[in-house]
Amino acid sequence: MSTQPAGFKSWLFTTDHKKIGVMYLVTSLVFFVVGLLLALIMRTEQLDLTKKVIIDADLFNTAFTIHGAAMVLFWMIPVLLGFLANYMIPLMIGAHDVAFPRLNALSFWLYVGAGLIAVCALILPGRLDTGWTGYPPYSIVGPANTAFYVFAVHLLGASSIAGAVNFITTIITLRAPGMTWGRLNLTVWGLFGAFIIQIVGVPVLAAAVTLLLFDKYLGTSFYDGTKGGSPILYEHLFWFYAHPAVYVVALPVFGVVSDIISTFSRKKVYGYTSMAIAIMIITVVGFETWVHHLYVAGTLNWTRVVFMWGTIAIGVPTGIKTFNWLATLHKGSIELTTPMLHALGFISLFTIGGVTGIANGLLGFDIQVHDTHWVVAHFHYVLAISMSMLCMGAIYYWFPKFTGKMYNESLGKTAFWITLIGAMIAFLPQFHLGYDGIPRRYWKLPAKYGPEMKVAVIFSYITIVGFLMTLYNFVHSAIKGKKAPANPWNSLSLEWQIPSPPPFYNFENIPTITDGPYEYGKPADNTVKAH
Amino acid sequence: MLKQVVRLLMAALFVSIPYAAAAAERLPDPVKAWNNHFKTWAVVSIVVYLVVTVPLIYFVFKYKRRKKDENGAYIEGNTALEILWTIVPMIIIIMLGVQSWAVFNDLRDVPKDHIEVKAVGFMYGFEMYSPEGIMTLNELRVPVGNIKVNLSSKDVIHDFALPAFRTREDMVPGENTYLWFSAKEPGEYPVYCAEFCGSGHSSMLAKVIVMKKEDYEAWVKSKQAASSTTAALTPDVKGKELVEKLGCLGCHGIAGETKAGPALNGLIGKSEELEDGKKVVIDEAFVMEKIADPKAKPVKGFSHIMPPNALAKEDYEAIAAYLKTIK
Amino acid sequence: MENVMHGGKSEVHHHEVELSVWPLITAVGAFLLPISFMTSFSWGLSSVGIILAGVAVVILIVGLFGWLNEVHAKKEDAGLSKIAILVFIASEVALFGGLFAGYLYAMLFTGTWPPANTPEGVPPVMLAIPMTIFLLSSSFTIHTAEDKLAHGDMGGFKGWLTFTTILGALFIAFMVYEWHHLIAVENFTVRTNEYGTFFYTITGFHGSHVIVGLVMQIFCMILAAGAKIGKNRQTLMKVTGLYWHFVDLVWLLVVSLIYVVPFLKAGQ
Ligand code: HEA
Ligand code: HEA
Ligand code: HEC
Ligand code: CUA
Ligand SMILES: [Cu+2]
Repeated sequence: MSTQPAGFKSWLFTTDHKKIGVMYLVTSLVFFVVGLLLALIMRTEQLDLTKKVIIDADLFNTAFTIHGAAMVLFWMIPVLLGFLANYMIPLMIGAHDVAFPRLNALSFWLYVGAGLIAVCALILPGRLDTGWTGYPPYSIVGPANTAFYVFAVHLLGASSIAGAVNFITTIITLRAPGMTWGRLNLTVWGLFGAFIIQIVGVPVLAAAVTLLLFDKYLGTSFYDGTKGGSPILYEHLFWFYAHPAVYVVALPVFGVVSDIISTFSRKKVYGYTSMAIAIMIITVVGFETWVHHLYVAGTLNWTRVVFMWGTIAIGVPTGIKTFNWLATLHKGSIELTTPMLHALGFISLFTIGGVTGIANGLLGFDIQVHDTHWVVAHFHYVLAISMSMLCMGAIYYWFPKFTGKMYNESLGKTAFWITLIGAMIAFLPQFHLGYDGIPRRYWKLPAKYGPEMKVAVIFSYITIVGFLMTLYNFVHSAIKGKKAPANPWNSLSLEWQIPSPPPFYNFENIPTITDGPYEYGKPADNTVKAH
Repeated sequence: MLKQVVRLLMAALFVSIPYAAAAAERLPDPVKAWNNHFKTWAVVSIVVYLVVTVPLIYFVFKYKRRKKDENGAYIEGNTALEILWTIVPMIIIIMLGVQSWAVFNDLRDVPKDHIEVKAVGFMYGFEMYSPEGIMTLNELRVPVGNIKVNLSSKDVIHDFALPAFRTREDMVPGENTYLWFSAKEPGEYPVYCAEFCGSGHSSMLAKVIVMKKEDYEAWVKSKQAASSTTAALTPDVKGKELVEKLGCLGCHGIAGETKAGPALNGLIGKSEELEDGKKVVIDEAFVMEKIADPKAKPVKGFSHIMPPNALAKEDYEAIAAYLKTIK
Repeated sequence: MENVMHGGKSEVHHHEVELSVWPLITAVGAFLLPISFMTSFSWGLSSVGIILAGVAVVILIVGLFGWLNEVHAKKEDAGLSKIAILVFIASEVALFGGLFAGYLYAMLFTGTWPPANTPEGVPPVMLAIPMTIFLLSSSFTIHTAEDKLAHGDMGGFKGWLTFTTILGALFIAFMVYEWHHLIAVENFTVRTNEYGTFFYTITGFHGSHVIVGLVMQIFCMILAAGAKIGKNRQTLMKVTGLYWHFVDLVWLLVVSLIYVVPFLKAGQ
C-alpha cells in the first residue's frame, strides 16, 4: 500500500473521492454565497417600488438570472450530487473508492469550468439577462450573450453525465458483500434516483440549449416563430429536464432526512421499503409533469389536463414519505441536536412549499398564479428554504466525519432559529402578491405592495445574519474545533463505523455487512415484527 | 384495522362522487369558480399542514431522550396505516383535481355570445384592436359582456395577464392563442405582462376599460370620425400619432424619463455618445435612420433591442417633425 | 459496530490510482473549446478563436490519450466499463430522443412536410442507401473483430477492426459529399426552413457520434499495437463495439424519419 500523497498537488491531481467531495463542497458554497449576495441586492432594490435604489432594470434582470442559475445549477445540485454523493456513497456501501476515480476528477473540473463561464456571464459585457430558464426568442433576439448560458450548461451537463455514469456503476457493482439493496441507506437510494434522472434528463437539456446556440449564431430557425419554428418547443425540451431537476435535488434530501431522523430518534426508519419505492415512483412520475410550467403557454388543452394529473399525483408518494418520518419519530428516543433541528424544520417548511406546489399544479388555480410571486414563494419554500436548510443540516450531521472536528452546538442552534424565523417570513408576503396576480421578474412592482416587500426585505436580511453564523461555525470549527470521535451520534450506519476523518483507504479490508443501517434496538430473537 | 380503513374509504368515495359531479358542472362565472377553488385548496392545505406539524411537535416533546443509551421502540411498519396515508391523500388529490379541471374548462371554453377583440404584444406594450378595427395602445376598451381576446406577439413571448378576471395566457410569436373573460362591471382593470421579456418587462402594463354599451358605442363613433380626418393633419400632429401607434412609447419616455431606450424629448440637437465611442449630434437624418435601421448607429448605455420600422418617407419626416416639437 | 458489519475479507486493496494529471488536462481542453467559440462568435475575434480551438482540441486529445494509456498500463482489468457504457448509452438515447421529439413536434404541427420551399432533390435518398450499407455492414465487421479478440487472434482482430474503420470513414466521406452537394448545388441550407434546420442538426449530431466511434476504434488500434489490448484485456474493445452498434441503430432512425418519411411525403 503506497503512502498518502500530500501537499498542493495532492488536491489538484487527486482522484480520491473524499478530497473531490470536499472540493465540491467548498466550490458549491462559494456559489451559494454569490447567489445570496445577488438575492440581497435584488431585495434591496425592492425597498422602494417607485424609483431605482441601487440597480437598474437590466442589472436586476442579470441578477435574478445568475441568482437562479447559481442556486439551482451550481449550488443545490453539486452540493448533493457532488459533495454528498462523492463523500458518502463509497463509505455507505463499503467501497474503497468510486468505480472510475479519474472520471470523477474530470466531473469536478468540468463543474469548475462551467462555474467560471457563469461568473463571466455576470461581469463581462453582453450580460445574461434571460432568466435561468433562457426562453427564446428573447434569448435569441435580446442583447444577452446566450453563448455563456449554453456553454455553462454544456460543461455542467458533461460533468453531470460523467458523474451519473460513475455513481450508478459504483452503486451497482461496488457494494460490499452483504450490502443488499434492502440494506442501503435511504440517502443512497435517493442519490440513485437522482442520478437516473440526470442520465435521462441532462442530454435533453443539452440538446435544447444547443439548438438555442444554432439559432442565435448560425441563423437556424428552431425556435423562431416568425420563421416557422416554435418557441414552445424549447419550453418543452427545457422543462423535460428542469422539472425533474427539482427532484434531483429533492430525492437525496429526502434520503438524508430519513437518515438524520433515524439516527437521532434511535429508531428504525418506519416503512423502509415504502420509502425506497416512493423514491423510485417520484423518479419516474417526475417525468410526467413538465407541462405544468406551460399551463398558459398556448399548449393544447388536453395536454394540460394530462400533465395536471401527473403533477399532483406526486403529492401521494411525497406524502407517504412525510408520514413515514412522523411515524419514525413516534416512540423514538429523540435528541434535538442541530442536524435534527434542521431535519424537523425541513418537514414543516417543505409541507408549506409542497401544498403551494399542489396549488400550482392545479390547472385552474395556476391560470391565476402562473409566473407570479406565488410561484416565487412556492419555490423558495421548497428549494431555497427547505432544501438548502437540509443541506446545512447534512453538513452539520457529517461534519465530524469529514473534518474530524466537532462543530459548536449552541452556535449551531442559535443560527438555526434565526435563519428559520427569517426565512419563514421572508417569502410569506409574496403569496399575497401572487394571489393578486402580480407577475414575477418585475424590477418595480406596483407601488401599493410597498409594505409587503419591506417586510420581505427585512426578514431576508435577518436570514443572512443566521446564515453567516452558520458559515462562521463551519469555518471556525473546521480549523479550531474539538477533535471528533469516530461515531459521535452512536449511529449504526456504515460510514460512522470507521475513524473520523476516514483513513485514505476508507476500509482497511472490505467489510462483510450483516445488517441494515437502521436496526436500532432490534430484538435479538427477531420475532417481534410489527404492532 | 384494514377493515376499518376500507370502510372509511367507501364512505369517503360516497361523499366525493356527488361532490365531483357538482364541480364538473359549468359555473356561471369563472371568477367565482376560481375563488371557490382557492378556498377549497386553502382549507385542505391548512389541514394537511396541521396534520403534519402538530404530531411533529408533540412527538418531539413526548419522546425526548431520557437516558443516554436509550433506543427507540423497534417497529418495522404497519400495512394498514401505510395504506391509510396513501389512499387519503389520493382521494384529496382527485377531488382537488376534478374541481380544478372544472374551473379550467370554465376559463377556457368561450361562451357562444361573445365579441372578439385582438391584442398584440411587442417590446414594450400592447396594441389592442376593437372589433371595428380601432387600434389603441395599452388600453382595451370593451362593452359589458363576454369578451374573447385573440393574442399574438410581434417579437418575443409576452403574456396577457388579467388578474381581476383570474385569467392569463402567453402571447407567442408565430402562434395564435386566446383567453376570454366576462366583463360585468364597468371600470378599469389592470393588465400585466407576465412572461419575462427584457428591460421593459415591468413597465409593460396596460388596462382593460369596461364601458356601458352606450358609452362604448359613442367612443367608437368618435374614433371613427377622427380617423377620417387624419389626412389633413400637419406633420407634427401626424408624427405624434405615429409615435403612439407604432409603440415607440413602450420603450421611450417623452418627459425626460429613461425607459428601455432614451427619452425622446429634447432629443434633436442633443449630443449623444455611440457604442463605438464616437459622439454625434442628433438631427432629423439620424432619427430617420434610427427608425429604419436601429442597429446601424447604436447608442451607448442601452441594450440594442429597438425593432426596425419600414415607413413611407413622409412618415419618417412626420416623426422627426414631432420629435422637434417636444422639449 | 458488531451490529452492522464484521471483519471482512483480508484482501489487500490498492486504490486504482492516487494521483492523475489527465482529468485536469482533459477538463482544460474541454473548457477552452467553448471559450474559443465565444471568442470568435461573441467577441468577433475569429482568428484568435480558431487558434484557441486548435489548441483546445490538441489538449483534449493529449489528455484523453494519456488517460487511456495510463488505464491500460495496469495489469488487470476490472471490467466495470461495460455497465458504465450501457448507462451512458441510456443518456445518449435521451439526447437523440429529445432531438427526434423536437423533429416530430415540428413535423406534426406543420401543414406540409417538408415545407414547400424544399428543393426537389431533397432528401437525397439515393445517397442514403450506400451510407446505410456501410454502417450496417460495419456492425458485422466490428462484431467479428471482437470475436477474434476473444479467441486471441490478434492478426484477425486488427484486420477486421481496420475494415470497420474504413467503412466508418467511407460513411463520413459520403456524408461530407452529401452536405457539400446539398449546400452548393441544391442550395439547401440550415436556414432554408425548419426541415433544413433539423436535417443538418440531426445528421450532424449523428455524424459526430460516428466520428467519436472512429476515434475510439483508432485508440483501440494504437493500444493493440502496443500490446495493451489482448485476450485478457478486452473491455475497451467491448465498449467500443457496444457504442458502435448504438450509433448504427440511431442511423436507422435517422434514415427512416429524416430521409424516408419526407421522401414519401408521409408526414402530412
Ligand atoms: C426542490 C425543488 C422543488 C420541489 C420539491 C417542488 C415540488 C413541487 N412543485 Fe415546484 N417548482 C420549483 C421547485 C420545486 N418544486 C421551482 C424552482 C419552480 C419555478 C421554476 C421557474 O419557473 O423558475 C417550481 C414551479 C412549479 C410549478 C410551475 C408554476 C408556474 O410557473 O406556473 C408548479 C406547477 O405545477 C410546481 C408544482 C410542484 C409540485 C406539485 C410539487 C410537489 O412535488 C410537492 C409535493 C409535496 C407535498 C404535497 C407536501 C407533502 C405531502 C403531504 C403532507 C401529503 C398530503 C398532501 C396533500 C393531500 C396535498 N412547481
Ligand atoms: C436554492 C435556491 C435558492 C435560494 C437559496 C434562494 C435564496 C434567496 N432568493 Fe431566490 N431564486 C431562486 C432560487 C433560490 N433563491 C430561483 C431559482 C429564482 C428564479 C430565477 C429566475 O427567475 O430566473 C430566484 C429568484 C429570486 C428573486 C427574483 C424574484 C422575481 O422574479 O422577481 C428574488 C427577489 O428578491 C429572490 C430572493 C431570494 C432571497 C432574498 C434569498 C435568500 O437570501 C433567502 C434567505 C436565505 C438565506 C439568507 C440563508 C440561506 C440558508 C438557507 C436558505 C438555509 C436555511 C437554514 C436554516 C433555517 C438553518 N430570489
Ligand atoms: C423595444 C424597444 C424600442 C422600441 C419599440 C423603440 N425603440 Fe427607439 N430605442 C430603443 C433603444 C434601446 C434605444 C437606444 C439603444 C440603441 O440605439 O440601440 C433607442 C434609440 C432611439 C433613438 C435614438 C435616441 C438617442 O438618444 O440617440 C431614437 C430617435 C428612437 N429610438 C426612436 C424610436 C421611435 C421613433 C420608435 C417607434 C417607431 C422607437 N424608437 C421604438 C428601444 C426602442
Ligand atoms: Cu412583455 Cu414581459
Ligand atoms: Cu416543475
